[in-house]
Amino acid sequence: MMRTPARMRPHDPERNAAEYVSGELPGRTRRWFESHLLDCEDCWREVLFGRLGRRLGSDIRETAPTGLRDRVRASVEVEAMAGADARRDRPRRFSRRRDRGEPR
Amino acid sequence: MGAQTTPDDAFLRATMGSMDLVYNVARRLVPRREDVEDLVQETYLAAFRAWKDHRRPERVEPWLATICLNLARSRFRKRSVRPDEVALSEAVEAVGAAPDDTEREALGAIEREELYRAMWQLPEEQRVALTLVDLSGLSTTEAADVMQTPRGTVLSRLHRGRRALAVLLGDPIPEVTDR
Repeated sequence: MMRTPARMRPHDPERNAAEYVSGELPGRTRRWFESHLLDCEDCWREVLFGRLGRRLGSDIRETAPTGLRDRVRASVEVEAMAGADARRDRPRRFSRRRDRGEPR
Repeated sequence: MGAQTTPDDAFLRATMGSMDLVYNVARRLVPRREDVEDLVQETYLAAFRAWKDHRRPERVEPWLATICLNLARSRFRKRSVRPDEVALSEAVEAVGAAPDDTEREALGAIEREELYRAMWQLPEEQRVALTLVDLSGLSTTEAADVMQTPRGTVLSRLHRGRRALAVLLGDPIPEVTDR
C-alpha cells in the first residue's frame, strides 16, 4: 500500500479536493489521492462539488461589448499622446546657458 | 528603415486579446453593469502606465486580472454593495440576436444572469478566489500573493466558493458513484 505523502496530512477533504480539482497536486501525491478517493466518501464528495463548481464558475463567459474595444484602444492612444506632449512641453534644463552659447 | 513601434502599439498588441477575460473578471468583481466597462477601461490605462514604466509581466492575463481586482477593490467598492436586480425578461431583451439564434441566446442570457446572481451570493473572498483561479488561470500560489493571504486560506475559500456555486446552481448532492 502507498504511504500517505507528507503534504496530504492531516486528512483535509476541502483542501485536498481544492488542490486536486485545480490540478496542483504533484504526480506522486496525485496518485496517492486518487487511490484514497476510492475509499473515502468525504473526499470524493468534495471532489464532485469542486469539479461542478469550477465548471459552473468558469464556463459562462461573455464577449466584451463591441464598443468597449474601441473605447479602450482610444483611451490608451490618448494617454500615450498626452505622455508624449508632456515630455515635449517639459522645460529644458540649462536652456539659458545654451542660449548664451556657453559650453555645456 | 521599418516603421517604429510605439509603446501603445506594443501594449495594445500584447493585451487586446485579453479583453474578454478582463471583461469577465470585471463582471464578477463589480456589481453594477455600468461600472464594468469603466473598470475595464481603467484597468487598461493602469496597465499601460505600468508598461510605459517598463513593468512588463511574464503572463499578461493574470497581470491584467490582478490590476482589475485591485482597482475594483479601491475604486468601485463604495459605489454599491449589491448588484442591480435584473429581471430575466430584461436579460432576454438585452440580447440583440439574429432571429435564428434568439432562443439559444435568450437561454444563454438567463444562464448568465443566474450565474451572476449566484456569484453575488458568495462572500467576497470566495468570489475573488474563484475569479482569480478558475476564471483568470492564476495558480493558488499566485492568487495567495494577490490576495495577501496564505495559500491554505485561498484553497479553503476556493473550495467553499465552488461548493456553494454547485449547490446554488447545480445538483445539490452529487452522486457518489462513477469514480
